[in-house]
Amino acid sequence: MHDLAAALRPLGLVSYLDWATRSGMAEVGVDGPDFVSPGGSLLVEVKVGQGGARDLRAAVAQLALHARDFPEARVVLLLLRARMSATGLRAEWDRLQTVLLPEIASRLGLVALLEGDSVIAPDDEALRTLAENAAEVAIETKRARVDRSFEVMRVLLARWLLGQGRIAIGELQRQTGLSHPSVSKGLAALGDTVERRSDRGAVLRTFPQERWSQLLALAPTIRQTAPFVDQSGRGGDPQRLLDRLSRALPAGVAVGGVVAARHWHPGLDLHGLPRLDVSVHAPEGLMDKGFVERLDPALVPAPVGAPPLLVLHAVPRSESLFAQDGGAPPRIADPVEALLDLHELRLVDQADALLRHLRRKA
Amino acid sequence: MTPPGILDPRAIFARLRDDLPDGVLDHVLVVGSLAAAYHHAGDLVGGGVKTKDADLVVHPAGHTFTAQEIALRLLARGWRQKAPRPFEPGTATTPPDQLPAIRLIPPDHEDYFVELLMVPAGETPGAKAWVSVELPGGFYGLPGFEFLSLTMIDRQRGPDGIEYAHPAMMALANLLSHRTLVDHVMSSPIGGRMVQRYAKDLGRVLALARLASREEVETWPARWLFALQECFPTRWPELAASIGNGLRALLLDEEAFEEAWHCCNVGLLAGRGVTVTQLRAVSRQVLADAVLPVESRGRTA
Repeated sequence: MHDLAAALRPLGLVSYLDWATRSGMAEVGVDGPDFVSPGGSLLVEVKVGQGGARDLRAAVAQLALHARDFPEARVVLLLLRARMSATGLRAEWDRLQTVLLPEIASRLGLVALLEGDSVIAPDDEALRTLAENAAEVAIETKRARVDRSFEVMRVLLARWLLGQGRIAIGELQRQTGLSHPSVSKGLAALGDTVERRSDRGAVLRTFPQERWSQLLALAPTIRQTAPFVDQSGRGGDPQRLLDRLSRALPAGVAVGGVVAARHWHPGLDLHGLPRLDVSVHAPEGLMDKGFVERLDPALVPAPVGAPPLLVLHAVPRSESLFAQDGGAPPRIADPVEALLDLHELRLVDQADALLRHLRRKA
Repeated sequence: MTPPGILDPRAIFARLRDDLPDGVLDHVLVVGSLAAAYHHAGDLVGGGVKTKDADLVVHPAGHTFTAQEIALRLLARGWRQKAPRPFEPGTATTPPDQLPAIRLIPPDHEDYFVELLMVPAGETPGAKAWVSVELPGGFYGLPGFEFLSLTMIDRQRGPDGIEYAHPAMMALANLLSHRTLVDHVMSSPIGGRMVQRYAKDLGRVLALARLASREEVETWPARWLFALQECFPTRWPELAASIGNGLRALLLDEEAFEEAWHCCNVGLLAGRGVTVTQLRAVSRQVLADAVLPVESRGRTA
């Protein structure tokens, strides 16, 4: 959450790890709040794209635990792009306050930035300032949602490569997070390569070369990526970073790139690990990068042109399509994500080999 | 071939083995920069260290007689007192902290000198009083530092048969010795600069972490907790909980951190071109990988 971190820094808020490191008040990996003021008097828990009352209840429970662990602190829930109406959100928030212990409830606060609306409870200066600073990120999040039309092809292509057959249009809508018209537009863009069925399903007939080429050409601008370099001067070893990540893979995160390519095609002619590619599920368009600091506090955003050790890629659809794997790493990005990573790495021959292999199997 | 002015730690260890009489080797442990350099001898860019000081901790704990016996045996074998001394040898009534330390040079060369230190017995907090040791010519002082006992845990033994302190334990002792940054300028310059003792010692912690792999540093918390519980059975939670305070203070003080970086760059990290930014990143890793887990255990104990 580096973007949000930058937006909240003027308020003196720092990431939990940064704060814990400076103050020695907690263990790395403990489920602390996302941001903390230097004196520990204000804690901020951030949630993106919360869907309803159930999500809000879970978030408030987490807030209450923070309030218990930090008995002097004010604990604020910052909701970005919540999918609730302002009225519904406020009503649920007020209702939840009544079931909390008064000494906990009195220290909780809510800042929710919705589509063209907001909820600030209680409406005081500190929370209004927090809302103003976070608003910039909320706008950026909205901008990040500009182009998801390729998600229709990506979902269909992943199914085609894995031999999963047709998908109902409703399910395609659900997995991509797109509206019906947007899905229709995405299907139309695939032309003859997609077969529409009378049972409201769709399936790829063949590899959508033209649309795929468009995606490859636009990928540098469409794909939300975040490269990181090692600042310790140790050189950085992607394999060790992978081992470390695999030991505690955060929710919504999967390993992509060369590792995923090898997973989908164990015989692939690929040696070594040039860098670690990681896919981050970001259905609301905002990539949570907070885990990077916990993974290695020496990792910092890469300057332009510097070869990265770690690259994050946002997966901006509702369904991540990450594959659960019992081994290490326990979660793998889908084959289309792996193909895009290989192309980004200029491993075009290997990308073609992966494509052929998966198609043969399918 | 080591450059002029640089000493190969393996060569010094080999000389120590030859110069120390039988029986003495079993009662001494090398600590400090020489021990650190020896442990990482293969990784030092310059091939060695500039120090000629072989700090020898005499054990078992609190055994001043052994220290006296060792000094007497060395003197009998032709070892000499190192000059100049800050104080002349005293009498039985001279306050021990005004006595010169026992610093001895081998009989036939001056490649290095040894300084005898003592492991304090018990876990009483605070600075340890020096102990008077009578040698020919007068009384000398034997210093014992509060956290020196930690270096007795996980002792390493090289092919020379000489024991030296594990880097993790030296790092622990240094962290605990400087939980607050107290002004105390070193008596001799380091790399041409007068520096604070905390900058030198906390810089050493960072240099040791930088020379080790990150995976190795991740083994430090378990070693540290064991050593703390062994050496400070009643104080360990409080010590563990505050272990990183000095390092954090160093990170927040740009001038002090720059001084620590200087000590690293003219010492164990010489020739590596480590920048201040890089050393800061190493500090963050040390805090996350080693310090925070131990502090957390200390708080919940």
